[in-house]
Amino acid sequence: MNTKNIFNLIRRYFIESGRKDINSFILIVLIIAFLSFFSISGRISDSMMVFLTFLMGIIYAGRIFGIFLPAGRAIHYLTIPASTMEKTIANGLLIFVYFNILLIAALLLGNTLGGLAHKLLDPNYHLHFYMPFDLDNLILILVFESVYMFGSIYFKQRTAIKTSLVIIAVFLFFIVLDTTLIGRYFIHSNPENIQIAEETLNNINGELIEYVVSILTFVFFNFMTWLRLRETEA
Amino acid sequence: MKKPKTYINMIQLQNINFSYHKGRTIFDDLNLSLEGGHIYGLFGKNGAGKTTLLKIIAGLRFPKHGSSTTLGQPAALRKAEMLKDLYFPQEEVYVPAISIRNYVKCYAPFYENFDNEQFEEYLHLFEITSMDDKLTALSHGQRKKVIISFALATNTKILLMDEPTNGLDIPSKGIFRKIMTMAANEERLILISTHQVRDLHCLIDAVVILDNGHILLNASADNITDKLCFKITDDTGTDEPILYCEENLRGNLLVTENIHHIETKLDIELLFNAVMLNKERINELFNAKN
Repeated sequence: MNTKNIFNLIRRYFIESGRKDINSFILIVLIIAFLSFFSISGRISDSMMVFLTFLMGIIYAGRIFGIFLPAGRAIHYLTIPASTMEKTIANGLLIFVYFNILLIAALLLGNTLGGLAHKLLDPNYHLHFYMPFDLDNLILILVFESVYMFGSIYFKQRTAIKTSLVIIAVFLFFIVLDTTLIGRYFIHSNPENIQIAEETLNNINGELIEYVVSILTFVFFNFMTWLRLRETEA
Repeated sequence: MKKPKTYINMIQLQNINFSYHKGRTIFDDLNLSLEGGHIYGLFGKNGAGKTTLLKIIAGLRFPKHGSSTTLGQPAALRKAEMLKDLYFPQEEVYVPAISIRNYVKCYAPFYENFDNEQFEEYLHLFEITSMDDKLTALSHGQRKKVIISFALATNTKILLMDEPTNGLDIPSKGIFRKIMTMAANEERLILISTHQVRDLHCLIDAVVILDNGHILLNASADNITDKLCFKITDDTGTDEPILYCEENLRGNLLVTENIHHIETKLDIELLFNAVMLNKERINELFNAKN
Protein backbone atom coordinates (compact mmCIF):
# COMPACT_ATOMS: atom_id res chain seq x y z
CA MET A 1 0.00 0.00 0.00
CA ASN A 2 1.28 3.41 -1.00
CA THR A 3 0.35 6.39 1.19
CA LYS A 4 1.28 8.73 -1.65
CA ASN A 5 -1.52 7.24 -3.74
CA ILE A 6 -4.01 7.74 -0.89
CA PHE A 7 -2.85 11.34 -0.53
CA ASN A 8 -3.20 11.87 -4.29
CA LEU A 9 -6.70 10.39 -4.29
CA ILE A 10 -7.81 12.71 -1.49
CA ARG A 11 -6.12 15.66 -3.17
CA ARG A 12 -7.96 14.75 -6.37
CA TYR A 13 -11.26 14.85 -4.49
CA PHE A 14 -10.57 18.30 -3.08
CA ILE A 15 -9.51 19.71 -6.45
CA GLU A 16 -12.61 18.28 -8.14
CA SER A 17 -15.20 18.89 -5.42
CA GLY A 18 -13.68 21.34 -2.91
CA ARG A 19 -15.52 24.38 -4.20
CA LYS A 20 -18.86 22.56 -4.35
CA ASP A 21 -18.28 21.36 -0.78
CA ILE A 22 -17.69 24.89 0.45
CA ASN A 23 -20.87 26.11 -1.26
CA SER A 24 -23.04 23.37 0.22
CA PHE A 25 -21.36 23.85 3.62
CA ILE A 26 -22.27 27.54 3.63
CA LEU A 27 -25.83 26.71 2.58
CA ILE A 28 -26.24 24.13 5.34
CA VAL A 29 -24.75 26.47 7.98
CA LEU A 30 -27.24 29.14 6.94
CA ILE A 31 -30.15 26.66 7.13
CA ILE A 32 -29.09 25.58 10.63
CA ALA A 33 -28.61 29.23 11.71
CA PHE A 34 -32.04 30.09 10.35
CA LEU A 35 -33.70 27.13 12.10
CA SER A 36 -31.96 27.73 15.42
CA PHE A 37 -32.76 31.44 15.27
CA PHE A 38 -36.47 30.71 14.94
CA SER A 39 -36.54 27.90 17.50
CA ILE A 40 -37.71 28.74 20.99
CA SER A 41 -34.73 27.15 22.71
CA GLY A 42 -32.26 28.93 20.46
CA ARG A 43 -30.95 25.70 19.06
CA ILE A 44 -32.29 23.17 16.61
CA SER A 45 -34.08 20.13 17.93
CA ASP A 46 -32.50 16.69 18.00
CA SER A 47 -34.90 15.40 15.35
CA MET A 48 -34.03 18.33 13.09
CA MET A 49 -30.36 17.58 13.66
CA VAL A 50 -30.92 13.98 12.58
CA PHE A 51 -32.70 15.24 9.47
CA LEU A 52 -29.89 17.67 8.63
CA THR A 53 -27.27 15.01 9.24
CA PHE A 54 -29.14 12.80 6.81
CA LEU A 55 -29.45 15.61 4.28
CA MET A 56 -25.76 16.43 4.49
CA GLY A 57 -24.96 12.75 4.26
CA ILE A 58 -26.86 12.41 1.01
CA ILE A 59 -25.23 15.50 -0.49
CA TYR A 60 -21.67 14.57 0.47
CA ALA A 61 -21.97 10.81 0.08
CA GLY A 62 -23.27 11.37 -3.44
CA ARG A 63 -20.29 13.57 -4.16
CA ILE A 64 -17.67 11.35 -2.57
CA PHE A 65 -19.08 8.10 -3.90
CA GLY A 66 -20.68 9.20 -7.14
CA ILE A 67 -18.11 7.02 -8.76
CA PHE A 68 -20.20 5.38 -11.44
CA LEU A 69 -22.18 8.30 -12.80
CA PRO A 70 -22.19 9.73 -15.41
CA ALA A 71 -21.36 6.97 -17.87
CA GLY A 72 -17.64 6.64 -18.39
CA ARG A 73 -16.85 7.80 -14.89
CA ALA A 74 -16.49 4.22 -13.67
CA ILE A 75 -13.75 3.47 -16.20
CA HIS A 76 -12.08 6.75 -15.35
CA TYR A 77 -12.18 6.00 -11.62
CA LEU A 78 -11.27 2.32 -11.80
CA THR A 79 -8.22 3.02 -13.98
CA ILE A 80 -6.75 5.67 -11.66
CA PRO A 81 -3.40 4.14 -10.70
CA ALA A 82 -4.12 3.21 -7.11
CA SER A 83 -5.07 -0.15 -5.64
CA THR A 84 -8.62 -0.99 -4.56
CA MET A 85 -7.47 -0.89 -0.94
CA GLU A 86 -5.99 2.60 -1.42
CA LYS A 87 -9.21 3.79 -3.04
CA THR A 88 -11.32 2.33 -0.22
CA ILE A 89 -9.11 3.94 2.43
CA ALA A 90 -9.16 7.32 0.66
CA ASN A 91 -12.95 7.19 0.42
CA GLY A 92 -13.18 6.07 4.03
CA LEU A 93 -11.05 8.99 5.22
CA LEU A 94 -13.21 11.40 3.25
CA ILE A 95 -16.50 10.09 4.55
CA PHE A 96 -15.57 9.15 8.12
CA VAL A 97 -13.17 11.98 8.94
CA TYR A 98 -13.67 14.86 6.53
CA PHE A 99 -17.44 14.61 6.28
CA ASN A 100 -17.91 14.32 10.06
CA ILE A 101 -15.65 17.32 10.67
CA LEU A 102 -17.79 19.25 8.20
CA LEU A 103 -20.96 18.00 9.88
CA ILE A 104 -19.85 18.98 13.38
CA ALA A 105 -18.52 22.32 12.13
CA ALA A 106 -21.77 23.08 10.29
CA LEU A 107 -23.92 22.26 13.32
CA LEU A 108 -21.68 24.22 15.74
CA LEU A 109 -21.34 27.19 13.43
CA GLY A 110 -24.99 27.25 12.40
CA ASN A 111 -26.23 27.07 15.97
CA THR A 112 -23.77 29.72 17.10
CA LEU A 113 -24.77 32.06 14.27
CA GLY A 114 -28.45 31.50 15.08
CA GLY A 115 -27.72 32.17 18.76
CA LEU A 116 -25.80 35.36 17.95
CA ALA A 117 -28.71 36.60 15.88
CA HIS A 118 -30.98 35.79 18.81
CA LYS A 119 -28.71 37.75 21.12
CA LEU A 120 -28.88 40.79 18.86
CA LEU A 121 -32.62 40.93 19.35
CA ASP A 122 -32.63 39.83 22.97
CA PRO A 123 -29.55 41.00 24.93
CA ASN A 124 -30.57 38.80 27.88
CA TYR A 125 -30.34 35.69 25.77
CA HIS A 126 -27.57 33.47 27.03
CA LEU A 127 -25.42 32.29 24.17
CA HIS A 128 -24.26 28.72 24.57
CA PHE A 129 -22.10 26.54 22.39
CA TYR A 130 -23.93 23.43 21.49
CA MET A 131 -22.06 20.20 20.87
CA PRO A 132 -24.32 18.48 18.40
CA PHE A 133 -23.68 14.87 19.32
CA ASP A 134 -21.91 12.60 21.77
CA LEU A 135 -19.77 9.52 21.21
CA ASP A 136 -22.79 7.20 20.93
CA ASN A 137 -24.30 9.32 18.19
CA LEU A 138 -20.97 9.53 16.42
CA ILE A 139 -20.61 5.74 16.44
CA LEU A 140 -24.15 5.41 15.07
CA ILE A 141 -23.37 7.93 12.32
CA LEU A 142 -20.17 6.05 11.42
CA VAL A 143 -22.15 2.83 11.10
CA PHE A 144 -24.72 4.49 8.85
CA GLU A 145 -21.98 6.07 6.78
CA SER A 146 -20.32 2.70 6.27
CA VAL A 147 -23.66 1.34 5.03
CA TYR A 148 -24.03 4.31 2.66
CA MET A 149 -20.48 3.85 1.46
CA PHE A 150 -21.25 0.25 0.57
CA GLY A 151 -24.55 1.31 -1.04
CA SER A 152 -22.76 3.82 -3.21
CA ILE A 153 -20.53 1.09 -4.60
CA TYR A 154 -23.24 -1.56 -4.78
CA PHE A 155 -25.85 0.49 -6.59
CA LYS A 156 -24.94 2.34 -9.74
CA GLN A 157 -27.72 4.91 -9.81
CA ARG A 158 -29.59 6.87 -7.12
CA THR A 159 -27.36 5.25 -4.54
CA ALA A 160 -28.51 7.33 -1.53
CA ILE A 161 -32.22 6.70 -2.14
CA LYS A 162 -31.77 2.99 -2.80
CA THR A 163 -29.55 2.54 0.25
CA SER A 164 -32.04 4.44 2.41
CA LEU A 165 -34.86 2.21 1.16
CA VAL A 166 -32.86 -0.91 1.98
CA ILE A 167 -32.12 0.41 5.49
CA ILE A 168 -35.81 1.19 6.03
CA ALA A 169 -36.77 -2.26 4.70
CA VAL A 170 -34.31 -3.94 7.08
CA PHE A 171 -35.68 -1.95 10.03
CA LEU A 172 -39.26 -2.81 9.07
CA PHE A 173 -38.28 -6.45 8.76
CA PHE A 174 -36.91 -6.47 12.31
CA ILE A 175 -39.92 -4.59 13.66
CA VAL A 176 -42.26 -7.09 12.03
CA LEU A 177 -40.10 -9.95 13.25
CA ASP A 178 -40.12 -8.53 16.75
CA THR A 179 -43.82 -7.77 16.99
CA THR A 180 -45.13 -10.84 15.25
CA LEU A 181 -42.93 -13.89 15.32
CA ILE A 182 -40.93 -13.30 18.50
CA GLY A 183 -43.76 -11.57 20.31
CA ARG A 184 -46.51 -13.97 19.35
CA TYR A 185 -44.73 -17.29 19.35
CA PHE A 186 -42.02 -16.80 21.91
CA ILE A 187 -42.96 -14.29 24.59
CA HIS A 188 -46.76 -14.35 24.56
CA SER A 189 -47.07 -18.09 24.18
CA ASN A 190 -45.73 -18.50 27.68
CA PRO A 191 -45.82 -15.62 30.21
CA GLU A 192 -42.74 -17.06 31.92
CA ASN A 193 -40.77 -16.22 28.81
CA ILE A 194 -41.32 -12.50 29.48
CA GLN A 195 -39.54 -12.86 32.79
CA ILE A 196 -36.77 -14.93 31.20
CA ALA A 197 -36.31 -12.29 28.49
CA GLU A 198 -36.19 -9.44 31.02
CA GLU A 199 -33.67 -11.29 33.21
CA THR A 200 -31.50 -12.08 30.23
CA LEU A 201 -31.54 -8.45 29.15
CA ASN A 202 -30.67 -7.30 32.67
CA ASN A 203 -27.76 -9.70 32.93
CA ILE A 204 -26.03 -8.68 29.77
CA ASN A 205 -24.17 -5.43 29.29
CA GLY A 206 -26.36 -3.79 26.66
CA GLU A 207 -23.99 -0.91 26.06
CA LEU A 208 -21.05 -3.20 25.43
CA ILE A 209 -23.08 -5.31 23.00
CA GLU A 210 -24.17 -2.14 21.23
CA TYR A 211 -20.54 -1.06 20.79
CA VAL A 212 -19.43 -4.49 19.64
CA VAL A 213 -22.30 -4.79 17.15
CA SER A 214 -21.63 -1.26 15.88
CA ILE A 215 -17.92 -1.92 15.39
CA LEU A 216 -18.60 -5.25 13.69
CA THR A 217 -21.18 -3.66 11.39
CA PHE A 218 -18.73 -0.85 10.55
CA VAL A 219 -15.91 -3.30 9.78
CA PHE A 220 -18.25 -5.59 7.84
CA PHE A 221 -19.53 -2.85 5.52
CA ASN A 222 -16.06 -1.43 4.97
CA PHE A 223 -14.81 -4.87 4.05
CA MET A 224 -17.80 -5.37 1.75
CA THR A 225 -17.08 -2.01 0.09
CA TRP A 226 -13.51 -3.04 -0.63
CA LEU A 227 -14.67 -6.43 -1.91
CA ARG A 228 -17.37 -4.93 -4.12
CA LEU A 229 -15.00 -2.32 -5.55
CA ARG A 230 -12.52 -5.08 -6.35
CA GLU A 231 -15.20 -7.07 -8.13
CA THR A 232 -16.67 -4.12 -9.99
CA GLU A 233 -16.57 -4.27 -13.77
CA ALA A 234 -17.09 -1.35 -16.10
CA MET B 1 18.22 4.03 -10.16
CA LYS B 2 15.46 1.44 -10.47
CA LYS B 3 15.72 -0.45 -13.75
CA PRO B 4 12.47 -0.46 -15.71
CA LYS B 5 10.87 -3.87 -16.09
CA THR B 6 10.85 -5.32 -19.57
CA TYR B 7 8.30 -7.75 -20.93
CA ILE B 8 8.42 -9.96 -24.01
CA ASN B 9 4.66 -9.76 -24.28
CA MET B 10 3.21 -6.70 -22.63
CA ILE B 11 -0.27 -8.11 -23.15
CA GLN B 12 -0.96 -11.80 -22.96
CA LEU B 13 -4.45 -13.26 -23.25
CA GLN B 14 -4.76 -17.03 -23.00
CA ASN B 15 -7.85 -19.12 -23.67
CA ILE B 16 -10.19 -16.27 -22.89
CA ASN B 17 -13.89 -17.03 -22.69
CA PHE B 18 -16.18 -14.10 -22.16
CA SER B 19 -19.90 -13.51 -22.40
CA TYR B 20 -22.23 -10.86 -21.06
CA HIS B 21 -25.06 -11.77 -18.74
CA LYS B 22 -27.58 -12.01 -21.56
CA GLY B 23 -25.71 -15.04 -22.79
CA ARG B 24 -24.16 -14.11 -26.16
CA THR B 25 -20.60 -15.38 -26.28
CA ILE B 26 -18.16 -12.62 -27.14
CA PHE B 27 -14.88 -14.53 -26.92
CA ASP B 28 -14.41 -18.24 -27.20
CA ASP B 29 -10.94 -19.52 -26.37
CA LEU B 30 -9.29 -16.33 -27.55
CA ASN B 31 -5.51 -16.07 -27.50
CA LEU B 32 -3.52 -12.91 -28.11
CA SER B 33 0.02 -11.73 -27.42
CA LEU B 34 1.11 -8.18 -28.07
CA GLU B 35 4.62 -6.76 -27.84
CA GLY B 36 5.98 -3.32 -27.13
CA GLY B 37 7.28 -1.04 -29.86
CA HIS B 38 4.19 -1.33 -32.07
CA ILE B 39 1.08 0.61 -32.89
CA TYR B 40 -1.53 -2.09 -33.28
CA GLY B 41 -4.78 -1.50 -35.09
CA LEU B 42 -7.64 -3.54 -33.65
CA PHE B 43 -10.37 -4.16 -36.20
CA GLY B 44 -13.62 -6.05 -36.25
CA LYS B 45 -17.23 -5.73 -37.23
CA ASN B 46 -19.71 -3.96 -34.96
CA GLY B 47 -20.28 -6.08 -31.87
CA ALA B 48 -17.15 -8.17 -32.46
CA GLY B 49 -15.95 -7.26 -28.97
CA LYS B 50 -13.21 -4.70 -29.64
CA THR B 51 -14.11 -2.47 -26.69
CA THR B 52 -14.64 -5.51 -24.47
CA LEU B 53 -11.18 -6.75 -25.42
CA LEU B 54 -9.65 -3.39 -24.44
CA LYS B 55 -11.56 -3.54 -21.16
CA ILE B 56 -10.31 -7.05 -20.39
CA ILE B 57 -6.75 -5.88 -21.02
CA ALA B 58 -7.30 -2.92 -18.67
CA GLY B 59 -8.85 -5.18 -15.99
CA LEU B 60 -12.28 -3.61 -16.32
CA ARG B 61 -13.98 -6.80 -17.48
CA PHE B 62 -13.29 -10.24 -16.06
CA PRO B 63 -13.21 -13.24 -18.40
CA LYS B 64 -15.20 -16.30 -17.38
CA HIS B 65 -12.23 -18.52 -18.18
CA GLY B 66 -8.65 -18.03 -19.22
CA SER B 67 -5.98 -15.61 -18.11
CA SER B 68 -5.39 -12.00 -18.99
CA THR B 69 -1.96 -10.65 -18.10
CA THR B 70 -1.00 -7.04 -18.61
CA LEU B 71 2.58 -5.95 -17.91
CA GLY B 72 3.16 -9.22 -16.13
CA GLN B 73 0.22 -8.72 -13.73
CA PRO B 74 -3.18 -10.40 -13.73
CA ALA B 75 -5.24 -7.60 -15.29
CA ALA B 76 -8.37 -8.21 -13.19
CA LEU B 77 -6.50 -7.33 -9.97
CA ARG B 78 -6.09 -3.76 -11.25
CA LYS B 79 -2.90 -3.31 -9.25
CA ALA B 80 -1.51 0.20 -9.00
CA GLU B 81 1.77 -1.00 -10.57
CA MET B 82 -0.12 -2.06 -13.69
CA LEU B 83 -2.43 0.96 -13.84
CA LYS B 84 0.38 3.50 -13.57
CA ASP B 85 1.76 2.12 -16.83
CA LEU B 86 -1.54 1.91 -18.68
CA TYR B 87 -3.83 4.62 -19.99
CA PHE B 88 -7.23 4.02 -21.53
CA PRO B 89 -8.93 7.06 -23.03
CA GLN B 90 -12.45 6.05 -23.92
CA GLU B 91 -14.48 6.78 -27.01
CA GLU B 92 -16.85 8.99 -25.02
CA VAL B 93 -14.35 10.66 -22.76
CA TYR B 94 -15.36 11.45 -19.21
CA VAL B 95 -14.08 14.73 -17.86
CA PRO B 96 -14.63 16.27 -14.42
CA ALA B 97 -15.85 19.87 -14.10
CA ILE B 98 -12.39 21.37 -13.57
CA SER B 99 -9.89 23.33 -15.66
CA ILE B 100 -7.22 21.65 -17.78
CA ARG B 101 -4.59 22.95 -15.35
CA ASN B 102 -6.40 21.35 -12.42
CA TYR B 103 -6.88 18.13 -14.34
CA VAL B 104 -3.11 17.91 -14.61
CA LYS B 105 -2.75 18.73 -10.90
CA CYS B 106 -5.25 15.96 -10.07
CA TYR B 107 -4.04 13.14 -12.24
CA ALA B 108 -0.42 13.75 -13.29
CA PRO B 109 0.96 12.78 -9.83
CA PHE B 110 -0.32 9.24 -10.39
CA TYR B 111 1.94 8.82 -13.43
CA GLU B 112 5.66 8.83 -12.64
CA ASN B 113 6.69 9.62 -16.21
CA PHE B 114 4.19 12.36 -16.91
CA ASP B 115 5.86 15.12 -18.91
CA ASN B 116 4.19 18.50 -18.64
CA GLU B 117 6.21 19.97 -21.51
CA GLN B 118 5.04 17.20 -23.79
CA PHE B 119 1.47 17.76 -22.67
CA GLU B 120 1.63 21.47 -23.43
CA GLU B 121 3.26 20.77 -26.78
CA TYR B 122 0.47 18.36 -27.79
CA LEU B 123 -2.16 20.84 -26.64
CA HIS B 124 -0.43 23.54 -28.64
CA LEU B 125 -0.45 21.33 -31.75
CA PHE B 126 -4.16 20.71 -31.20
CA GLU B 127 -4.59 24.49 -30.92
CA ILE B 128 -5.83 24.40 -27.35
CA THR B 129 -4.27 27.49 -25.92
CA SER B 130 -5.77 28.09 -22.51
CA MET B 131 -5.01 25.79 -19.62
CA ASP B 132 -7.69 27.54 -17.60
CA ASP B 133 -10.61 26.43 -19.74
CA LYS B 134 -13.05 24.25 -17.87
CA LEU B 135 -13.11 20.76 -19.39
CA THR B 136 -16.89 20.47 -19.25
CA ALA B 137 -17.19 23.75 -21.18
CA LEU B 138 -15.21 22.32 -24.11
CA SER B 139 -16.76 20.60 -27.12
CA HIS B 140 -16.59 16.82 -27.40
CA GLY B 141 -13.72 17.05 -29.90
CA GLN B 142 -11.75 19.47 -27.72
CA ARG B 143 -12.21 17.31 -24.64
CA LYS B 144 -10.91 14.41 -26.63
CA LYS B 145 -7.86 16.38 -27.71
CA VAL B 146 -7.06 17.24 -24.08
CA ILE B 147 -7.46 13.66 -22.91
CA ILE B 148 -5.43 12.26 -25.83
CA SER B 149 -2.68 14.82 -25.10
CA PHE B 150 -2.74 13.86 -21.43
CA ALA B 151 -2.73 10.14 -22.25
CA LEU B 152 0.33 10.49 -24.47
CA ALA B 153 2.14 12.73 -21.98
CA THR B 154 1.76 10.12 -19.20
CA ASN B 155 4.32 8.05 -21.12
CA THR B 156 2.72 4.85 -19.93
CA LYS B 157 4.01 1.64 -21.48
CA ILE B 158 0.55 0.71 -22.72
CA LEU B 159 -1.96 3.00 -24.36
CA LEU B 160 -5.37 1.60 -25.22
CA MET B 161 -7.43 3.82 -27.48
CA ASP B 162 -11.05 3.28 -28.44
CA GLU B 163 -12.06 5.16 -31.59
CA PRO B 164 -9.64 8.02 -30.88
CA THR B 165 -10.42 9.97 -34.05
CA ASN B 166 -14.21 9.93 -33.61
CA GLY B 167 -15.29 13.49 -32.98
CA LEU B 168 -12.05 15.04 -34.26
CA ASP B 169 -12.31 17.44 -37.18
CA ILE B 170 -10.33 16.80 -40.39
CA PRO B 171 -7.23 18.93 -39.54
CA SER B 172 -7.14 17.42 -36.05
CA LYS B 173 -6.98 13.91 -37.47
CA GLY B 174 -3.72 14.86 -39.19
CA ILE B 175 -2.39 16.39 -35.98
CA PHE B 176 -3.44 13.25 -34.13
CA ARG B 177 -1.33 11.15 -36.52
CA LYS B 178 1.59 13.53 -36.05
CA ILE B 179 1.57 13.42 -32.27
CA MET B 180 1.04 9.66 -32.25
CA THR B 181 4.19 9.32 -34.30
CA MET B 182 5.98 11.61 -31.84
CA ALA B 183 4.76 9.58 -28.87
CA ALA B 184 5.47 6.09 -30.22
CA ASN B 185 8.69 4.45 -29.12
CA GLU B 186 10.36 1.06 -28.83
CA GLU B 187 9.05 0.43 -25.33
CA ARG B 188 5.51 1.52 -25.87
CA LEU B 189 2.56 -0.55 -26.97
CA ILE B 190 -0.31 1.35 -28.51
CA LEU B 191 -3.49 -0.54 -29.31
CA ILE B 192 -6.06 1.41 -31.27
CA SER B 193 -9.55 0.10 -31.85
CA THR B 194 -11.22 1.85 -34.73
CA HIS B 195 -13.50 1.71 -37.73
CA GLN B 196 -11.85 4.80 -39.21
CA VAL B 197 -9.13 2.89 -41.05
CA ARG B 198 -8.37 5.78 -43.40
CA ASP B 199 -7.52 7.99 -40.42
CA LEU B 200 -4.89 5.65 -39.15
CA HIS B 201 -3.61 3.45 -41.95
CA CYS B 202 -0.23 5.19 -42.19
CA LEU B 203 0.22 5.02 -38.44
CA ILE B 204 -0.47 1.39 -37.75
CA ASP B 205 2.39 -1.07 -38.05
CA ALA B 206 0.56 -4.19 -36.90
CA VAL B 207 -2.96 -5.44 -37.40
CA VAL B 208 -5.24 -7.45 -35.14
CA ILE B 209 -8.55 -8.61 -36.62
CA LEU B 210 -11.24 -9.91 -34.35
CA ASP B 211 -14.16 -12.00 -35.56
CA ASN B 212 -16.68 -14.31 -34.00
CA GLY B 213 -14.88 -14.54 -30.69
CA HIS B 214 -11.47 -15.30 -32.16
CA ILE B 215 -8.41 -13.48 -33.41
CA LEU B 216 -8.38 -14.01 -37.17
CA LEU B 217 -5.16 -12.16 -37.76
CA ASN B 218 -2.37 -10.76 -35.61
CA ALA B 219 0.49 -9.74 -37.85
CA SER B 220 2.87 -6.88 -38.49
CA ALA B 221 2.38 -4.73 -41.58
CA ASP B 222 5.64 -6.11 -43.01
CA ASN B 223 4.49 -9.65 -42.50
CA ILE B 224 1.18 -8.88 -44.16
CA THR B 225 2.71 -7.24 -47.25
CA ASP B 226 5.18 -10.09 -47.41
CA LYS B 227 2.34 -12.55 -47.81
CA LEU B 228 -0.33 -10.46 -49.48
CA CYS B 229 -0.33 -8.09 -52.41
CA PHE B 230 -2.53 -4.97 -52.63
CA LYS B 231 -2.93 -3.54 -56.10
CA ILE B 232 -5.14 -1.64 -58.51
CA THR B 233 -5.53 -3.13 -62.02
CA ASP B 234 -7.74 -2.56 -65.01
CA ASP B 235 -8.60 -6.23 -65.17
CA THR B 236 -8.52 -9.13 -62.78
CA GLY B 237 -6.09 -11.12 -64.91
CA THR B 238 -3.39 -12.30 -62.56
CA ASP B 239 -1.73 -15.62 -61.86
CA GLU B 240 -1.75 -14.95 -58.13
CA PRO B 241 -4.69 -16.34 -56.13
CA ILE B 242 -7.19 -13.51 -55.64
CA LEU B 243 -8.49 -13.18 -52.12
CA TYR B 244 -10.58 -10.10 -52.63
CA CYS B 245 -11.63 -7.87 -55.50
CA GLU B 246 -13.51 -4.61 -55.39
CA GLU B 247 -14.47 -2.49 -58.35
CA ASN B 248 -14.23 1.25 -58.14
CA LEU B 249 -13.73 4.20 -60.50
CA ARG B 250 -9.96 3.74 -60.53
CA GLY B 251 -10.21 0.09 -61.56
CA ASN B 252 -10.17 -3.16 -59.64
CA LEU B 253 -8.77 -3.15 -56.15
CA LEU B 254 -7.23 -6.53 -55.55
CA VAL B 255 -5.83 -8.47 -52.66
CA THR B 256 -3.87 -11.46 -53.82
CA GLU B 257 -1.42 -13.88 -52.33
CA ASN B 258 2.07 -12.51 -52.83
CA ILE B 259 3.66 -15.47 -54.54
CA HIS B 260 6.03 -13.30 -56.59
CA HIS B 261 7.19 -11.32 -53.54
CA ILE B 262 6.16 -7.97 -54.92
CA GLU B 263 6.40 -5.03 -52.54
CA THR B 264 3.06 -3.25 -52.16
CA LYS B 265 1.50 -0.87 -49.67
CA LEU B 266 -0.86 -2.23 -47.04
CA ASP B 267 -4.48 -1.19 -47.44
CA ILE B 268 -6.23 -2.01 -44.18
CA GLU B 269 -9.75 -1.78 -45.55
CA LEU B 270 -8.99 -4.21 -48.37
CA LEU B 271 -7.11 -6.45 -45.96
CA PHE B 272 -10.08 -6.55 -43.59
CA ASN B 273 -12.46 -7.53 -46.38
CA ALA B 274 -10.05 -10.13 -47.70
CA VAL B 275 -9.62 -11.66 -44.26
CA MET B 276 -13.38 -11.79 -43.69
CA LEU B 277 -13.91 -13.62 -46.99
CA ASN B 278 -11.00 -16.06 -46.66
CA LYS B 279 -10.72 -16.92 -43.01
CA GLU B 280 -9.30 -20.38 -43.48
CA ARG B 281 -6.79 -19.40 -46.16
CA ILE B 282 -5.62 -16.43 -44.07
CA ASN B 283 -5.17 -18.74 -41.13
CA GLU B 284 -3.08 -21.09 -43.29
CA LEU B 285 -0.99 -18.23 -44.67
CA PHE B 286 -0.24 -16.52 -41.39
CA ASN B 287 -0.26 -19.31 -38.88
CA ALA B 288 1.64 -21.89 -40.93
CA LYS B 289 4.63 -23.22 -39.02
CA ASN B 290 6.99 -22.82 -41.98
